[in-house]
Amino acid sequence: MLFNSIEFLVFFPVAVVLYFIIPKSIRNYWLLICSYYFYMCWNPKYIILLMAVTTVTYLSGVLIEKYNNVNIKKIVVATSFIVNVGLLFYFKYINFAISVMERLLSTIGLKIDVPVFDVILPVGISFYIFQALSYTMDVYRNEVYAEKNPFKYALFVSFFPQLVAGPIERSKNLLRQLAQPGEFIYENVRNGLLTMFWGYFLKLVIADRCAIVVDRVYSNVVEYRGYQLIVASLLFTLQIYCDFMSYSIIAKGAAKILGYELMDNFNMPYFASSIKDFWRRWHISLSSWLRDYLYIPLGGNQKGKLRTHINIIITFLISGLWHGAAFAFIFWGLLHGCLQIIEDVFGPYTKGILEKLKISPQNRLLKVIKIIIIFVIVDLAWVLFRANSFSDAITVYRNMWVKDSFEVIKNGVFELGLDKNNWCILLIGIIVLFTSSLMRYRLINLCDWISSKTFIVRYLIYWSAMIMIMFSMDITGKEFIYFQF
Amino acid sequence: MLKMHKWIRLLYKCILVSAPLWLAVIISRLCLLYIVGEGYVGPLWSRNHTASAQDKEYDVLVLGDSVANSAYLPEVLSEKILNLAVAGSSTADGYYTLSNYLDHNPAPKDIFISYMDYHLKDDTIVWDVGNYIHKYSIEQNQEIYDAIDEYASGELSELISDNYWREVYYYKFYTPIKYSHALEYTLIENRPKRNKALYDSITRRNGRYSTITNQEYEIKEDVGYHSFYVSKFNEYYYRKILDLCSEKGIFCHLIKLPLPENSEFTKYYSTDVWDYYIYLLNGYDNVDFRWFHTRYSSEYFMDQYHLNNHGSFRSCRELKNRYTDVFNDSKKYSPDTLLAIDEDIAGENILSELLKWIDGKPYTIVFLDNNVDLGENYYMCLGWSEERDVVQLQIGDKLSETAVYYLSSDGRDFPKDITVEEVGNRGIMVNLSNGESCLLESTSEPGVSFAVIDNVNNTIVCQRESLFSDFKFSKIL
Repeated sequence: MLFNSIEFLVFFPVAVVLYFIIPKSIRNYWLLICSYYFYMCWNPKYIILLMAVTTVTYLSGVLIEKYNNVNIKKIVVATSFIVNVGLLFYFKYINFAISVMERLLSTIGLKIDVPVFDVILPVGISFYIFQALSYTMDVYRNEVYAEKNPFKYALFVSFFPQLVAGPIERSKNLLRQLAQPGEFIYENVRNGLLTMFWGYFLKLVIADRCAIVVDRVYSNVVEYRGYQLIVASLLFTLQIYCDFMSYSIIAKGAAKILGYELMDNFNMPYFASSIKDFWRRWHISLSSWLRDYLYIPLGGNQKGKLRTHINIIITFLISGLWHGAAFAFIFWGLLHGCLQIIEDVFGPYTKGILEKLKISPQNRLLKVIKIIIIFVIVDLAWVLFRANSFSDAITVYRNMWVKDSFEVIKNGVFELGLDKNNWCILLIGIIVLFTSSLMRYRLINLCDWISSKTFIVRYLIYWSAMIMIMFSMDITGKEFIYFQF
Repeated sequence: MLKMHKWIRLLYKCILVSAPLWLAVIISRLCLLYIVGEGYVGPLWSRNHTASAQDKEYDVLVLGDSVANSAYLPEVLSEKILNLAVAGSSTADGYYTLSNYLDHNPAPKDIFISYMDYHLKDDTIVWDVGNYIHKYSIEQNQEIYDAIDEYASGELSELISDNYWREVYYYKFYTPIKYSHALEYTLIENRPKRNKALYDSITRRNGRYSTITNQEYEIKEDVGYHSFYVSKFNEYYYRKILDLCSEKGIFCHLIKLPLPENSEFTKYYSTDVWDYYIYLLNGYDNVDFRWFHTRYSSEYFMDQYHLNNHGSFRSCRELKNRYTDVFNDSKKYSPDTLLAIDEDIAGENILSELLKWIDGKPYTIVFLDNNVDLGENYYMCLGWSEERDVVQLQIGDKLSETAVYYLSSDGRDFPKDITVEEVGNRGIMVNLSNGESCLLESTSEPGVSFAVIDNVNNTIVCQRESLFSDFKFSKIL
């Protein structure tokens, strides 16, 4: 069930209204039923997988807490990891691994023909497995108590607003909140609805429009000229941000209506002034997961420069692989890892140069230049992420620098799948997004700002946004990009 | 109580914020004609004339695809014919068109049905267009769903959509998911005005809306016809149409329309066609099948399948001669029919064809000939009969010094409400009593300038030129 589907627009109000009508004591059970139903809408049989992950991690939590022996605890944690990562590997990486193995063996002259496994990637598997694993680790580290109530724990793993595309919640945050069923608080519901409204705006008005251009260009990159490739890559940068952020925002809004607070998954990532900063702002729930459960256990930055860099590379390699079973994702992850190492290595030198030039690190112009440079680098890296193959990505990199006259650009931009009207709507959407980001940069909350306006201004804003969403409805139906991960 | 108050407040605010959506639904519901794209106006016209009782009773209906829609000219065949053929449609669409029409109107005497081979061979149905214009009821959608399940060779998802019922309800409730694009472009493209004009034109043409041009087909290669096949799905609905006609006592004419000269029919194809229709017609005594086993030259086509206006005109004349008992109208033409013919004439590019259009109808043509000596020679080239010859026109008290002729296509005298006056050396001015006028200027080379006047609607239909060289007239300029 997509958040931008009619089914969800029927399901969600029914779920919410009944949630608040029924007695508090059974509200969590109702949410669990709703969450399982929500997941089963994709493929009912995969509910077994979700239940298996829940059962394994639930039992591991209970066992870790029960035994004081560290070795037993370690065995339990390892078992939980092996089972969960094994499931993830089977459903997500098995065919990729086979093809890699075949290729490697063929380089030494060995030919094997392993049949392809007929597996469909269960939606959201990477998200809920990571969420469940974080719980196991947290219990092992004594950061949370093991949850004794299996239904409450099952709800933590399957909480429908964030089940299929995050944020990857932590037990410290969500499980704790689930102890107390949500109350109907008018302000919460109102703000939640406004948050969801903003999410739909980002998805329908910006992301889905960008997708039209991006899909067209990336389906046949050799056909397109330099500026068209640049436009497409810029739009993909926007698309993936708006698409993913919109899901997180809708999830956050939906949870808020129910009385729960989910973590922020984005913090203006394209305003980052370094790659490290970008990863502090982009998909925060995943990067913090990787930091807490992979990078730091590997030693983080505490074991010397070389080890730090190796840890960074491993973390980003896993991050790339998490996004998908393809070399493009691995390269993309590695590229970000390498960029971060380069930053680390050259950081002190650039600092020295700035000191010599007497330029303060807080200089506004310097900050803007840094933001632009990081944006361009991130944008170029997204090409690897989006291109259908590595050779396509190389074609984009090679051809995007070919110059064209203004006349050619003016006409050619309308050959990318959007007419004047749609370009206008997209442009307005981008301006709105940029303005809201600037407001957030200045610590102004968009919802609060709108609420502070007069009735007429408020409703003019709502209706304009609603009209733009409406005019985007027939170009929708696209799944959220991050579902595939 | 306090909470209930908050719930109501919340609900009211949700409704208020989403007001544009509700408004969009209401506009789509009430003003569908004014918001749809150009391509939907014809099908919408057809839907409107089948979903309600008509003031007028029609003797003949036409069912079929775009080829049929362009080939059957009500203005040529009869005023009591309704062309309900819809572009892209197959027998399934045809069945529901007929069924809806008969639910609200008395049965016609005859029905002409024509589908191109490719619409019979493949399991097709213009389901999305049909639902977009609200042609199918929920029950009919259920029937289609069942028929696809039972008879179609492919999956439902290939033929229509994975989300069949979801889509049905999207259309049924006029959701912006289906209509917001139309709403977005309504004002930008001035759709209300354009669609209204188009709808009125289709009304004048009794349903014909496609290929009203004389664009000519350029043949590049021969097209072979080796086998003929009607899919199970199409046959199921073909039989449903024939059964419905039998039940209502309607005579059904299955017509295979002409194809261009580059169409090569193998003997297997011909055998297949005849065998199939013998098989299909077996048991029905109210059905006949006729194959225009003729191939018109390419100038009568606009592409490999669709007749252009010349072609449709020619095939309709042949049809009319063949079915004299069906098309037996009196030779009186209503103002609306003449307005439809006006559009055909205005798009005409061959002088001799133009004269065929107006033959026997209340039209007057005023010619300005820049070379008096051409005399009879070129009037012969016009192919005009001796009965209705051009007459030199008297301007004022005297015969014109330049050669000004008129032609009355129904043999009447020059109408009194048309006046012609010389405008110095420039040419002549043709004035109508309603103030409409046009200036005919001499052509730069030998030839004629002319104006066609619709005497009933009292309007100048067109003002054109045609040059004369090598003993023939050029295309109308």
